Amino acid sequence: MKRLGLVPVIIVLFTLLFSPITAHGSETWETRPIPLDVESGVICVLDGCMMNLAACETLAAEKLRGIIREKMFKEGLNKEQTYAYLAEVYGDKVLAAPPKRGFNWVAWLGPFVATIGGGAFLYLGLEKWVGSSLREEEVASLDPEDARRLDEELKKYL
Amino acid sequence: MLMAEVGYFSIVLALVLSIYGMIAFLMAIRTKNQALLGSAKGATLAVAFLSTVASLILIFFLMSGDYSIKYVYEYTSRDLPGFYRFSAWWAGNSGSLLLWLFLLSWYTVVVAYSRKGKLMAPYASGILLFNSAFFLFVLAFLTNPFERVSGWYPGAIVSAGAGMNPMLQNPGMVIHPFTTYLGYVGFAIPFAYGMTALITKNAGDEWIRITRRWTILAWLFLSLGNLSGAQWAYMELGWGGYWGWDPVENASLLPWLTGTAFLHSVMIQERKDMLKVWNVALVTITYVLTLFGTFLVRSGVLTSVHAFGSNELGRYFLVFTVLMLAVGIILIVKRSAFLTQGRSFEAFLSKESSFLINNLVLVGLAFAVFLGTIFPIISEAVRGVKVSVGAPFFNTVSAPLGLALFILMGICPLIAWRKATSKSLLDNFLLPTVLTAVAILDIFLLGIRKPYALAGYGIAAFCISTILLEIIQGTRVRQRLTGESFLMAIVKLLMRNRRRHGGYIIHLGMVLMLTAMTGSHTYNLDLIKTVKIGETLELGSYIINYNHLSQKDLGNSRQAVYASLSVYDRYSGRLLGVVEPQKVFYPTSDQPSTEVGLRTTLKEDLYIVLADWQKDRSATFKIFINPLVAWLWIGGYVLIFGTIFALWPGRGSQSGAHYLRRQDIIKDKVESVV
Repeated sequence: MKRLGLVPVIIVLFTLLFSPITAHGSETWETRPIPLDVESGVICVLDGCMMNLAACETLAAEKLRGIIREKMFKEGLNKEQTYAYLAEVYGDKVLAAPPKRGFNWVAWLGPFVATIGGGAFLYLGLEKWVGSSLREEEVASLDPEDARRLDEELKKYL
Repeated sequence: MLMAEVGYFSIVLALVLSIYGMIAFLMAIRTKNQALLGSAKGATLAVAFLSTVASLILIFFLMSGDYSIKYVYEYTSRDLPGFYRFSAWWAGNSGSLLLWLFLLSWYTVVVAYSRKGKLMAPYASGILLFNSAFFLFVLAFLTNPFERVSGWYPGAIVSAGAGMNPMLQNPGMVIHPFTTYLGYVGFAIPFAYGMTALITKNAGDEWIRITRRWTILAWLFLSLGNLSGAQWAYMELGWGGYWGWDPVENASLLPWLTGTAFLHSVMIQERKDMLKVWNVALVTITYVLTLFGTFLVRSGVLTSVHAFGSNELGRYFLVFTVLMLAVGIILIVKRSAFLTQGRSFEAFLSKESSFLINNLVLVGLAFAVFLGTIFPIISEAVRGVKVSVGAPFFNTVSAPLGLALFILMGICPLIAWRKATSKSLLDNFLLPTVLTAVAILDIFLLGIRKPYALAGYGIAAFCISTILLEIIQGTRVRQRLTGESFLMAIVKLLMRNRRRHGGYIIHLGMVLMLTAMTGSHTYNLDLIKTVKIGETLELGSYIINYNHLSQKDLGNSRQAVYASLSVYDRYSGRLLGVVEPQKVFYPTSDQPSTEVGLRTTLKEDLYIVLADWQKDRSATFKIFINPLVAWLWIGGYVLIFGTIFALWPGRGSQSGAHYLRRQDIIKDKVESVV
């Protein structure tokens, strides 16, 4: 069991020893950080973990970051071009939101269409209910005795 | 030890007894046999007792570290602290299902022995026992928590466990699943009573009155579950956010949304004897969505950081979910003739119609989340193309609907029941509208120019002003009637109708959360940069100096690599504090877990993640400035407080239809006079 306890120590030492030798002073495209808004739009698909890349720390995520770095910092692609490249290679599932085209509009517009449709249904329903039950029952004023009793009631419940 | 066999036998026996109990309840109802009814009630107690025995045995195995039990082997290790050993009860598939069963079985006992609604309780208990029987079947034949690593008794001796996922070793992750399950299971009660009302053709609101506390309690726990889940995600996942729109997060949000709609629409039924079909439909949808969430976590159809997928188990859950939905739909359709409206809407502009629109938007929002969650499956089925639906989609789609919901939250309290006249609208909304305009102008002059930020803060100001206005108006009426001081009048006003004012406190909490969400989504800053020791980073009003990178022993075989960073105010140069983001390495996991360095104030969070480091001790940091996040948690606690306030028993919490209608008549008269 004690040996098992050494595992994290070894992992830490190995990570410290064998991590890339490049440092800030000699930053290259391979070590340059990817802007977080770019990472947030990508899903880590390489090992099937399917987490947002910004939150993923697996080795597969690092590999995907490497590809993005190459495209953005070495080849000079912008964010949209990088996304287009990733979608071409890995399919639309690599993007954190379905592209706004074709069948995907069902997802983008469906909730609004359903809510507006529900609103229209509600309006028609209300029109029917209100129309069939409109009453002209108005209480113009209360006589002093009713007003006194009302005050007594209010004291109980307010 | 034969304890594992005792545990398994308890599950099998409980399954047999739950089936017996179901049949006994049915027979007792048909024959009106009191002895049989007593026996059926006894069966619920026996099922609860046996599920407790099974749970205690599993807990014993977890705490004592008997790794010959597969579940204990998979989710614990020798180095795991006792706190997390206990929480391993719900860390995996079979354990969490056992927890679900444990809660459901005791809830069933409470219902079976309840003095309220004696005619409905046997039906509801039978329905709940049917649910228990399903979970017992799953535990007995699909995912036995007492399965040994190798075969049956005595099995092989295993000296160490694989260990718990490091991400689950966080206090938030201990609270989050437990409270979420309490919420999920809690919604089974109103569902059972709703179905009972349909079966017994009970068109009244008795089932709603009986289950009101259950519903609010379930909603409270689900709220707490979502809140603690968000806190866990914020502190543990290290991406700077608190809600990632993960399928499993969505699964717990969905019943919360429809449950919220239900809590509002039942008020219409209680007061006006209306929306009966809609309420039964809503409670059915809510319960089915809790099952759907469980299906999502266990089926493996969607990938999630929270999921433990198993295709076979998922199939059974899907069948059960569809069965419950089908039963609900069939009963609603068959009994719709009995669920006639007691009264009707009297005007387009009324509190009733505003509640209806509130329901529409809540359900629309739930539909948006549901559609987004399952769209990857739909896309693959229809086009054969896999897509991902994540935060960018959900933020875009839910923001307009969410804001519409908050506008309604501001409108509802001040709009009159039955019929709002243009005069009453003007009287009630003039001041809040003016205050909102002033607030928007104020924040505009302060430099806030983004449309969503202006809309979010403006709507928050509107909601707060309407809530305060409603309370102040009530206090003044009370002062006039009783001659009490303002302070005494406001306290007594709040206490005398805790249900209503608890609701306002909940709304206030939600508004604080809206403020936090608006700030953290529209004015957040981030930076990712690699620096050497001694170098500084600048972001927002902070200067951050990288002091050193070190390693420390956290005990229990855990090692941490941490960076020390001094945080200074950019303008005054004052040292604000030292933060230490770290990566924690566990013996049982290849991947380290993230512990963020956090400096939190009411204004903003400075959130730092140690992303990477190099041989020369230079390190890469992800730095986020998240405005107003503290208000998200404060708002969440206010919401929890408001719910408890509304739930607290005694005078002021009563809600019977008679009381409400009587009060309604008085209010109607007051409105007519005023």
